[in-house]
Amino acid sequence: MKTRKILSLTRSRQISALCWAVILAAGLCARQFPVRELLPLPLRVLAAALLVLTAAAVITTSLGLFTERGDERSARNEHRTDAALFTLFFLALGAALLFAGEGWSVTLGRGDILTLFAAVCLARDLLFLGYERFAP
Amino acid sequence: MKLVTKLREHRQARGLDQAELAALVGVRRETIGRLEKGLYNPSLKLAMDLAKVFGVSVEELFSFQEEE
Repeated sequence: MKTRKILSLTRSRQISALCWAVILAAGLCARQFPVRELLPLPLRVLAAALLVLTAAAVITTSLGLFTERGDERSARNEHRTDAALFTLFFLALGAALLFAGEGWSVTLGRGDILTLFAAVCLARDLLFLGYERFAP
Repeated sequence: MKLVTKLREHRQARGLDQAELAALVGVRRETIGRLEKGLYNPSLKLAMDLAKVFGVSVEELFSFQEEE
């Protein structure tokens, strides 16, 4: 009987973290350098292909395709991860309120939002993996 | 107090590997590994499911020891 290969939950989250790191790196590079002007066409095509593969991997892992089912421990670690992320976000907002000057404002473009989203998703995966490895 | 378990002994006596035991009680192999090392406190349901697999009481499988 042919069985479908199933990724462990840990492996799936490792792949997801790697993919979000690639997307984050691409977003940060794009912010710093005029990619379209600097890179020749073959390299741009290669970079685009890499990002498409990465996006496909992110969608696959996010949907839990080919991934084993979670259990009570992974559910507990997911809750801890979300709680820790919210606490970090809460502290970041508090710091921003404390140190932001009068009239300070933030404008985020679509690229910035994607980069920020990638950073949050990467942090979420890394925190989960940390809890899986070290937490009781 | 530290949780002490005889899970590994019972599992090996039944000739099961961690993945097989995990499949029987509906958890991941890693969870069984951490349980056996005493690095995870199971829920009551999981403890009872494990005890049922081996035909023993929960107390025979898990106990608490005073930490020195």
